[in-house]
Amino acid sequence: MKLTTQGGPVPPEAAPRFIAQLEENSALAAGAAGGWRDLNLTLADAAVRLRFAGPALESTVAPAFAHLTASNGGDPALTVHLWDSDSTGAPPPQPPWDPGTRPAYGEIASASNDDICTWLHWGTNAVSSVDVRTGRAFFWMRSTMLWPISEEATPLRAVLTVWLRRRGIELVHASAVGTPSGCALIVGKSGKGKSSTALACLAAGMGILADDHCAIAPGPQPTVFSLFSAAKAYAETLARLPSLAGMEGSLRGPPDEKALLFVHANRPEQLLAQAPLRAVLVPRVTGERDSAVHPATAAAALAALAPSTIMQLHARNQTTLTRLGEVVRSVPCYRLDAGLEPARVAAAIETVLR
Amino acid sequence: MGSEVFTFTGPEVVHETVDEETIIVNLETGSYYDLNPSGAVVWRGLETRQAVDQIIAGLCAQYDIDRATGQADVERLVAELLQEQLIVPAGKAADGGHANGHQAGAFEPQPSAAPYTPPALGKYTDMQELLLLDPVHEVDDAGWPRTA
Repeated sequence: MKLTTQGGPVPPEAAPRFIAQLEENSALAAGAAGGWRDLNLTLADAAVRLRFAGPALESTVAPAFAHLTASNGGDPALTVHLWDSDSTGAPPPQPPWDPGTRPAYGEIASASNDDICTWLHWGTNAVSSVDVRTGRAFFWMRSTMLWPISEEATPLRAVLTVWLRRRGIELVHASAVGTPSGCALIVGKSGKGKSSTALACLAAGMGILADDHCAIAPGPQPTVFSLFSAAKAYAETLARLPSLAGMEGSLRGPPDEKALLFVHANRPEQLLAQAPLRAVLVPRVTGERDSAVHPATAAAALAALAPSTIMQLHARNQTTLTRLGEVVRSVPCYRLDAGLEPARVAAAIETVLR
Repeated sequence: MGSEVFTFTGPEVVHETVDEETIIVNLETGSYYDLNPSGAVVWRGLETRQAVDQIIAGLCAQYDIDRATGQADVERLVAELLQEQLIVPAGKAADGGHANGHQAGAFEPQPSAAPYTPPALGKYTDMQELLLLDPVHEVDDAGWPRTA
């Protein structure tokens, strides 16, 4: 049962009422912008439609999904409406909390129920709301000037996490590389070598599904789905991978933050939409020349995958942890000693994909 | 402690056992834990609402250890789990060594060929910062967080 910040029960009509308000507000924005601009996607084997009111959010969100573009939308399983107030002139929606109440970032209990998840996003001050029963979602922010470059790499994660979970698919904090015949999931918390390993494989010519986040359908043969086409890399990582030079996006953040690399724009042939999962790898950056893989326990793989996925990705529930356990039990797990030479990293990983 | 039964603190404590090891995540505090195989045996006993005495007997049977060792190790782990607020007391067992309403025999330890290592609970707090977001400092006239 959802509780308000004051501790009382949330009225059952509160979440649907907020969704209805967002629908109305987004329609106002679309009217002011001259109509919706639609982007149809095939995402995790489902038809998804992104509807943008005006070009401001479209230019920041759409590139991340460029590799999943579908020729026609059909009847989408999920429709996400995106708009901002600054560029459309639409007034902000009314907040779903009592006037005079200071909200908290994270899930907004007063606008959520078993089918609707509403989220106030730290950093962007955006609000997103997804109704998994009707397949409608809404994303509003006051101004895209608040959009950090890091968010461009993985937009709409809250919406996608909740919606995919209802479909039995988990959005995870992991990289994934391989071929259309099979891929390896690279797991670990931030700073443990997931991205640098994935980028080394990209530099060596291997296919990539994810730099930092992807989706997994558990089962006897799990499937990994690509969600986002961008990768992020520190300048020092790029310096070690000269073949990736020139892939950085035109927007750059502060020097101590990662730059964005849009793989679809530069190496579309290496960006895979999905692949069967063959192995889970727990990387360790060694600083040595050579790379190698060694058997690891499923427990070690789960310990590397689960905490950051659960704590980071709106996935704070038993179902997600249970499904991650199913994934690590279903394929071999390895420790990857990742050396400095990209070709040797890729070759080591290829040995477990055969 | 022998006849006491415990239960997991609530839905904020999620767990999964893989390869005889258990991963536990406290969704409220952001701390996560791992239990080695003997610790996972104890955790499974707690999950099936066995009394501490039954858990001790099960651990001793699984690893062929003496009662005194098993008792000391189980009670130490239970105390740790209580301190971490992963479990809470749930009363005392009825006859049969389980809490009321639970079937005896729901947890049957299997003799293990692996050498015995005392139950160990590893604790990790490096994810806690993901829960500690900056609060909303001010709201604008419309009630939304004020932009900087």
